[in-house]
Amino acid sequence: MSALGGLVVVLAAWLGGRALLPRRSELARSGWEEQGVAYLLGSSALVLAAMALSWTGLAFSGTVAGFVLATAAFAGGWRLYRDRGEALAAEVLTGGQLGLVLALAAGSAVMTLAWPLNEFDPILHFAYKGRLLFSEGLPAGEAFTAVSGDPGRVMTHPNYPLGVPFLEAFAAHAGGGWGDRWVQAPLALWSACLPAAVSLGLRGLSPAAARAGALIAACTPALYAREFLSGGLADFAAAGLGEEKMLGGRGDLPVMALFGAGAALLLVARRGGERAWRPAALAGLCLAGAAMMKNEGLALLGVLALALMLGALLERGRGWRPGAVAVGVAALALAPWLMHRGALPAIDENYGEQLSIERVGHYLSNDETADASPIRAENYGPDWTEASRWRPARIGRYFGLEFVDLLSWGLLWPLALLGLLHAARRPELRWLALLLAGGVALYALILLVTPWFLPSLHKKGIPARLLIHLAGPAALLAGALFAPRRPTPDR
Amino acid sequence: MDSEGAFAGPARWLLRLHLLLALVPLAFLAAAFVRAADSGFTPGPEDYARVRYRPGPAADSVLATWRGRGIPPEERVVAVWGLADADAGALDRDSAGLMTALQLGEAGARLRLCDPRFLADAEALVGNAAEYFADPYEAARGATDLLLNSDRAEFAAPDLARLAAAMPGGAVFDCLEAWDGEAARERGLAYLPIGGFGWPPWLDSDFQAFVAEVRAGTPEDARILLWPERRPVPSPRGRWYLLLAYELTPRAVLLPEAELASGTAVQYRQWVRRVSRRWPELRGSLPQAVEAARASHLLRFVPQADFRGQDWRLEELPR
Repeated sequence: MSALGGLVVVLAAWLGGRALLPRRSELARSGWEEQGVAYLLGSSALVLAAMALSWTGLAFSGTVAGFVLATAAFAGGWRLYRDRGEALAAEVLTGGQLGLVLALAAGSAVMTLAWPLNEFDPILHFAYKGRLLFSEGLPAGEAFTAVSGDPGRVMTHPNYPLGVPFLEAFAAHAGGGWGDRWVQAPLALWSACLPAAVSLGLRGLSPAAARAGALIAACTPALYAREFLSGGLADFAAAGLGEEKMLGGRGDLPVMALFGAGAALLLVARRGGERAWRPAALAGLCLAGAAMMKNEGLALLGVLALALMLGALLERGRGWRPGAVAVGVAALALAPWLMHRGALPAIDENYGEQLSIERVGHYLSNDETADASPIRAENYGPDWTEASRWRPARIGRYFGLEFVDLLSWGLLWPLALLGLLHAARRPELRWLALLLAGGVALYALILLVTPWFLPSLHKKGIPARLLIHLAGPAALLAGALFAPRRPTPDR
Repeated sequence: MDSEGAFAGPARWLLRLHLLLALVPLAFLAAAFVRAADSGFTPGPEDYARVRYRPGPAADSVLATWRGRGIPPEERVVAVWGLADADAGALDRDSAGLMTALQLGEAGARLRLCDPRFLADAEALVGNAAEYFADPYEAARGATDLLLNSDRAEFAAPDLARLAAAMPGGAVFDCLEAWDGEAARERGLAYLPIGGFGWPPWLDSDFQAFVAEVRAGTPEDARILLWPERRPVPSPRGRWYLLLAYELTPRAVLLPEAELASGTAVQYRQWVRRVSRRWPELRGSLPQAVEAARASHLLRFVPQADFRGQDWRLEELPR
């Protein structure tokens, strides 16, 4: 497989997303914001279209993949032609700031492709499914469902969403074969696109807010690597080879970028007056895309629906329509996947079942035991031997350590905390504050009932790999700190 | 950058500091790019530290091996070569080699410790719970097992004939992957590398060569039944079947009780226990399994943490 296949998918996704964006006169945006959000919308649309077609029983063959890509490219090309005279809004970033953001974006894309797939989760949880989609084409086929047989077909996490695998399979079809490096091309732009989406979301508040939000998002180290340099200068020698790398074929960055874009477009929609339904529908598309990347995306969609409902109640019913449109579109777009998922075997952590009152009560009143430890629990050192074994205390400690981990997050979380306090005084931002707080609470709850041994999860980068999903709402709230105060507009 | 309201001041300062910390990802991206370029943008085992030696898992691995063969630790006499890292300046209870040895001692094994640098220190720390030797071959005399914990020259390149004479048929647990395993096996020693490999399993050259061989020898619509010829090992590194399923796609890779075998690390251990428990029955059920799997090929394998081509044997089944 050549790089060309990956490039074709990136181009088609961008053009497809460009076709979905409203006119520039309806949704003001700079060139940089437009390209970033278009890519996120387009990649979401490709994945959802592929899932919907597969659900009808159509095999994901080269012809089908080519048809979807060509349709997206044609629609985008037509939109580019039609909108050629429309002016873009001014960039909110200065030349130097834009240079910094673009350097980080380019670096993240290059580093995603610098190595072929080279980690356990990207290979086995995602790329294996992508390879099966590429070669067999049917997500309902034996390869995806026969793990329960005896003998059964080997597959880890058979009910993981197929967003990343579909994007990889698109690239393989376009490139004429599977290649462990270039199938990652459609996955190389998540960290590059989030700041653009945050900027677009905050543009309506003020250019200063958009600028701050974009810079906060782009400069957060965890978009690229976590805990880099925590081991001192020795980390330079092994940079990119270890668990510190966030870039690559995992599902966390796409959830982050698409969920962030969904929240940003909702922010636009809630300020947008009568034509707000379109950004709201696009928000729904991004949220559905996030749920197609990892199961956490679906859980976060639930939190968002709740936050929007509570936010609307706090605003005495104002601003509920965009939220309803977004959640409705997301639910509709996800229907094929959810119906398909119901038929897939769940062989390991099934959080739908784990989240019971009995289980929550058990961990609130009992210490964790070492029964689920994959190695002797003492080998986790002081984290097991000296720390409290009461899960709520351990979870609180893990989250606290993340929030002050400057090498992973910079000052994103302190800024987001200020943003939360600030949003409490801004009715139109309260839903966003509820979303961030609810997202953190959701992940704390998931860790409370997880069947995994908590110190072993921590060693593997949890909760950092969960908190990264919330980088978008956190940057939006932090950026909103820099908006001038003004009365809430009437809707 | 402007901000209004009560949080304006702190927010501005925090933002400036946050922007300064952009140096961290910039440094990471630059360093990672240089690192990748240095390896020709294709990773190999040589890009990783040779082994990840962790005392706890190493001791667990030795104990599990004994348990798997039904041998009580109390019947083992373990010669320990090397008590601390090659460049260690001092010995304490946290030194890797000593820590591993002490865990085996706690389980009931008799210890014969050897590290010419730290004999007095070891005696002060461990006391009567072990015997002490300056000469490695004296330590090995009569031992049932040898634990290699240091790649100091006197341990890393041993006189295998002398060692085999000192502990005929003994087991060598190599925590550092320092020895030529084949040479040790030729001397009648059971060589068991347990160090925890530094590189990811898919980069293993034996594994890659085997994958190429199977790809060449099977059609794409092959249904390959993997069949363990011994009880599986608890090391997560022993899950080669997962990587084979990926590398051999679109060929179907099937395994007894695949659901547990494909699950979490804990489920994998349950699979190991279940297959071990079912072992006598499982061994006799191959014909039924072949039929249930509609297998076109049978891949017999000896479960090991280390991938060795000779442990895997592919057979084409009559249609």
